[in-house]
Amino acid sequence: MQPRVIAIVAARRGGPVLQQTLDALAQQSRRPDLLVVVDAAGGAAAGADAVTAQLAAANPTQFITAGSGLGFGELVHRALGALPAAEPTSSPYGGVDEWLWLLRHDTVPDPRALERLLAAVEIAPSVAVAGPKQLEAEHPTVIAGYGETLTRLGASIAIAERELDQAQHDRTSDVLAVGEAAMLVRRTVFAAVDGFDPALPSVDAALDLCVRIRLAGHRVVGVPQARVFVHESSAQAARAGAGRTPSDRVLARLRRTAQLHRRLVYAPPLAVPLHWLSLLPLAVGRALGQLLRKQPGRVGGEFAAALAVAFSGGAVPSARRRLARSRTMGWAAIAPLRMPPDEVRRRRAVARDATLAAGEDDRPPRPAFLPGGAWLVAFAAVVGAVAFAPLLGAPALLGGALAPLAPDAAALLEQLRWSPEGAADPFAFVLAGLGALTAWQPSLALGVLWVAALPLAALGGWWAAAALVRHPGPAAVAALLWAFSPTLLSALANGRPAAVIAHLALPLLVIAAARAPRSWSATAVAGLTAAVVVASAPALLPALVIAWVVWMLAHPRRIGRLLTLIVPTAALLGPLAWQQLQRGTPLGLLADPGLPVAPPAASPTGILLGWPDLSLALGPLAALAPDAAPLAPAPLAVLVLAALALPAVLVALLALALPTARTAVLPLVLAATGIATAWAVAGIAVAVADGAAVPLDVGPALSLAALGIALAAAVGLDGIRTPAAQRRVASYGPEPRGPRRLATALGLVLVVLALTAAAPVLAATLTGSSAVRAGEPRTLPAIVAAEAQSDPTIGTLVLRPVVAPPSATESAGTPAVSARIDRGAGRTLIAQRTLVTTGAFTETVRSEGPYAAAEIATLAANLVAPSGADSADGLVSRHVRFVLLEQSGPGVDPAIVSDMVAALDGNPALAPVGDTDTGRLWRVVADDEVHLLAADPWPGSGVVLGVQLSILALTLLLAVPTSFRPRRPAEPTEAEGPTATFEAEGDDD
Amino acid sequence: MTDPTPELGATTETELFHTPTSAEEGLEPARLRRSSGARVGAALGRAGLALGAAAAAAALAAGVLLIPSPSITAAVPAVPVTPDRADQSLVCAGGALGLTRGADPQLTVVADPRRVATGAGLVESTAAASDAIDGAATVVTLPREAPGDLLAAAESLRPRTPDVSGLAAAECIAPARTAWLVGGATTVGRTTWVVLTNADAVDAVVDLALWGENGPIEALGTTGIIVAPGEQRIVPLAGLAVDEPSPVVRVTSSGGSVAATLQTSIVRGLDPDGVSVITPIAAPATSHVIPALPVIGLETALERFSVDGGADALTAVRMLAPGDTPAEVTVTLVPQQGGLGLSTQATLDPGVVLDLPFTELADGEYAVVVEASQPIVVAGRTSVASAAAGTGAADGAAPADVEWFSPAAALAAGSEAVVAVAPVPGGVTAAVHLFAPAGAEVELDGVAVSVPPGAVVVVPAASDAGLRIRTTGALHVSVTYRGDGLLAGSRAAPPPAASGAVLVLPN
Repeated sequence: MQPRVIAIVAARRGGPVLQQTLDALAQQSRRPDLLVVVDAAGGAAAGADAVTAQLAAANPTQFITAGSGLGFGELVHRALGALPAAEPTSSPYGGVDEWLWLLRHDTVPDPRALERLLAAVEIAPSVAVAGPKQLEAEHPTVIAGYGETLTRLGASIAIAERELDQAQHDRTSDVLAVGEAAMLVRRTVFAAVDGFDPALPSVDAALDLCVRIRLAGHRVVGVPQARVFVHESSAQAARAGAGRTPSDRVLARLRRTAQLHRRLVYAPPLAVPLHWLSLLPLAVGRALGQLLRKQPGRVGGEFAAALAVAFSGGAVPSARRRLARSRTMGWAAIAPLRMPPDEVRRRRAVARDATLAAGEDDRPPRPAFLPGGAWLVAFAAVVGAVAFAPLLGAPALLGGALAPLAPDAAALLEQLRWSPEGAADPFAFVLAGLGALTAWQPSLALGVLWVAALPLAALGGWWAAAALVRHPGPAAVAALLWAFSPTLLSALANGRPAAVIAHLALPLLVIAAARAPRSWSATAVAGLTAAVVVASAPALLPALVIAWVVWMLAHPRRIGRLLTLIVPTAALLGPLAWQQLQRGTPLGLLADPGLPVAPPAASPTGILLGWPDLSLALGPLAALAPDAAPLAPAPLAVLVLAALALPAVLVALLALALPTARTAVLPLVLAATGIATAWAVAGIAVAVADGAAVPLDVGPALSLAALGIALAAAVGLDGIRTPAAQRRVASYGPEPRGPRRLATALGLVLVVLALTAAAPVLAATLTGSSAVRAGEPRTLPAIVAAEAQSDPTIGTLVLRPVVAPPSATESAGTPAVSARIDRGAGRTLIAQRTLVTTGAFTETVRSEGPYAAAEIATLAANLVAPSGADSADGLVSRHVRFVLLEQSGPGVDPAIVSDMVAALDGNPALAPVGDTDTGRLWRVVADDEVHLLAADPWPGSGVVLGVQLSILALTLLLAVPTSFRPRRPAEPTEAEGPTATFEAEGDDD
Repeated sequence: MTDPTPELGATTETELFHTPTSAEEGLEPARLRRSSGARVGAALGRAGLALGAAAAAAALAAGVLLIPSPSITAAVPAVPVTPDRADQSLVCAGGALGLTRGADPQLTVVADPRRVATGAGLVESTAAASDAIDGAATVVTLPREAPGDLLAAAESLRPRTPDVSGLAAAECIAPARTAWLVGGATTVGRTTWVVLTNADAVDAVVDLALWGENGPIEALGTTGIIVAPGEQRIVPLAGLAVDEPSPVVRVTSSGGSVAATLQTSIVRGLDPDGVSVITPIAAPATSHVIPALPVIGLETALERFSVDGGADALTAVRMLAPGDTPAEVTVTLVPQQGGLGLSTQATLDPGVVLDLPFTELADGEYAVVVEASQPIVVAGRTSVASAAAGTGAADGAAPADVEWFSPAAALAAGSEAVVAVAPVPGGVTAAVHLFAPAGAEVELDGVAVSVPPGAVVVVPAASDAGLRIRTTGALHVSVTYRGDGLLAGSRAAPPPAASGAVLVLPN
């Protein structure tokens, strides 16, 4: 029985690779009997003529031209269609045993490949398919593929893939399937099973064919002695044109599509509808899984695959008919050939380990957190607990820009919606997240934040510094400089929650952004922390946008990934930005969120020294100065502060002169950006509250500068030690002690200076002279809060005597009051809207209706001055039950205030309640039956909020660290060679 | 036929297992291998970089210090609102107070007042509830719809009972939150009542503070006196400050405002020797002007009052510095003809009331100018006696009378006011006293009067009338009423400052 071999070469591309293939065919020790070439280069494509010429030069038996869009299977079918039918025979396997040898343009067979394949099939008549061992053409010692199989769930899996060939698979013979490259298949069997499935054009085609041949009762074997060198994978080879390597993303989609198609084809008839219905839910679940696995690029592919298979028309029925026609055996027959689950798990574990190891190799060594870092955080925790002990467990913090966070847990969500007043501030989302930590009493979270701020800052500072330095000492110095930075202490002492949160988030942002080009997880973390920073300190927005653009330009290859950094920020800021731009007040986006309370005035000296509130430091220092000091107390104190701050700056600059210069550049640029931003925003006041413009807080910008200095100083200290360490590596001697001692001494000096500067502020908090105090969760008097318990919509007209603003060119003595209506127990942080505080008076939101500014102004003026107007109606119709005259602002003539009190006292519509902790209170005498319903929010607000929260949730999913060390199964006992798996372009996660 | 498979070699393996390292690590071995010259060069380059960065940092610092930050400040929206005009009210405290005869003496009104009120469209109403029998304050109201702004009212009392006799007059006053009442005494024979009237629509809670010749007086019952709307409460000062020759009372109210006056009367021996109504000063000040302090027949009076030592018969000025610091005071009595008056210096201990008597004083019309280094309150007292000593029978005459003159606030230059001259019984004449520290041209009911600087001008006036006053300079105006053994005075109050615009800054 003489086998007759028909070699079919399907060529999509020409060039040297095709030539090698054709040459190798010509050099076979057992020459194919017929050579059929299929020219699929596409007649019109450039270089197609060359391919045709190359193919023609090989003297083929048949020359067939086919469209370039066809799959490998289709091309083979075309070639077969051009051949004369197989000769009739009486033998069950044909008189003349006809074999098809399927080659692609990129598959270069070993000269003895065909001989060895035939040798394998000749001795076993039951074998219908034989496949060679595929080796990578560029690395001929690496197996590209040798046999394929299915997992229990039907996913295709290669038995060997990208492994160094150490003959470890040479004992494997019977396999479920072999790859398409240089596959030798019996022609009759190929025809009996109807050939390839046209619905599998690029991957899994050979697998599916082999499965059907197996189910038809034939065997499939791999022949390790026969070797073929492949240049392209089957997916790549299936691509037309130049045949670029398909990306991971495309490959994953193709594989998933093929798997889903095969699932519908192989399933029992009754299960097909169920499988069909599960396509989309599974796609959603797997998409979330891809996010968790830091593969957001594959999300689209999951849906594309599910949709492609769900609506593939007749592909599945025709494939099911094709399978049914040829099947003679049950699925149980191939079950032993599937890969056992244990083996699947083991392979995944190995792959994860390899990825992890690659990532570790890639990362510079980090100083160990234990024990030094832990001690440091513990120290900061103790200092924080002692300094803020009075605030621990306080139901709310008051003073400065502090107020109760939210009245209850429901408000956390409700206040995020787009209300009639306008879009919620991004900071509201931050506060909602914070308040959710203590959902039973959201305001409690602020006290926790105050106590935990120092250790959290130390932790963040350590984490940031540890990414830049090699020794724990410098990292500890950076963490302490950061935790006891004047900006954090000022924000804590002056009660500015937004600045505190921005300070805590900045190191995470800087380091996550630095890693973002290499990691999806870091990108998501950077995106979220950027949203937190921008929400808390919108003044940093311009600096961050510039940094973002520069970072993208620096990493043009990762520009797509870096573009997504802005997504969470855009999601939070979008509605507000839209409204501000529509209103024509884009600068309003810079307004500090939270209560519109003016921060302490910033001075150029303070900016340079890093103190947002210089008086915090100057007060105690000036008090300490001896009376006979040669300079006035204030300049002397400034000099002392400068002396305390300068060494850190000098060490930071010194880092540039050391071998670590490269690492120090980024932190120093950050520091300069921070100082420049602080200078730029110091004179800007875009919000208006209590009759005065509220300047922007320079604190967060100075935080940025402080972070840069702390990190650069750490790099500098590290650099003092590093040359020594290098010499030790070179000479294998002990590390010289001099540089090490110098670095330690310098670090100690920096820490002591920082703590000295910080001590008075910390003490101020402890002695109660700070603005922050523990209080009840209300900003209005207790009697109002008590009444708000039963009716949270009751209003209080809050009046505050102020000095008339200079813009109003009235006579200087004109009495002036600010007026607003608070609801419930008073103002809460989460309900504040910068859209309102930055609005011009003629704003449409407030210029109409009962809450129009003009209406409120008339009401207020007729209350604070003797008037014949009857105010009762105006109060009752707005459901105002109380009138509060707050402590007057600075510089207000007491006589004016007493006149106002007289007018309010004499008003028959009001009954005096008395002096309270927040001012003098009157109750509205008239009963009112008005019950305010919560104003209907804009109907689309729920959708907007839903989109915003979904984006945050998905980013969070992507940010969750999942690259922990996997559980390693027991080492397999079978003798097996080492496995070398590596990624072409790996991510850290 | 050559085997395309290359042999497994070291080169290939290195390539295969070459893990990408960071650029820096890739450079390390090369750096170690570098020659020492190259290393020095690199170090010099880095030093240059560091120096450049230091220079840049210095430039940044200089820029921050020298270049002012860009300034963008949001305009503060301010709405000027003129409050609706309110009703303007004056309270006339009512009749002369005395006690009923009998075992259980009751406070009662012994003489009804004579009253004049001027102002277009005014409305008079009576606050009938009073602690005194038949007592009733009259509220003169200029409603907000009235065509004009000017309102003035005054009343006079002429009791003639065995306990209370004499002439008293007072302008009707606007209710206020604070009032300083300087005058009266609670020594033997002297009776002083604090009269509190609430013309507002809400309760007024009144606190009294008292000072005497020995300093502040602590007493029960001085705080929390509730005066209901439309009610008049009358508090005997003797119950608060016992046997006090020189009381000063501060009245503060919360809730509604009150009109507070003192009514004081003197009985020497068994004879009623005068009555006076004392109207309040708004607040302590460093400068006070009492435009009228007539000294009439001082000799006669001293002679007559020697019955009980006559200590309170002398013309005197009562002063109190209620603050915490001593006040240096200069009291100048400006005679009618102008020129240098009698000037006296004194030091007021804080919280101690000083009665500064003038013993050697010629008869005449004086004005008193008080300048102090600290805010003080002040009032002048003068007495008069009938030449027909001891008889007291003549109609329209009395044996003697006392009068307290409070400082009058200045009418602003260029302003217009109206002064009410109370109706008086027969035999009593009224005169308007004008004093302008810097001089003024005054138009008094159409008659031009020139007031030289530092001189008192006394213009006789018809009683029971309202006189319009227009002045070109700051002017202090009082009205005196005098008859035989009778003396009384009232003041002209500046019109209430028009309630100006209030600036509201809506949040």
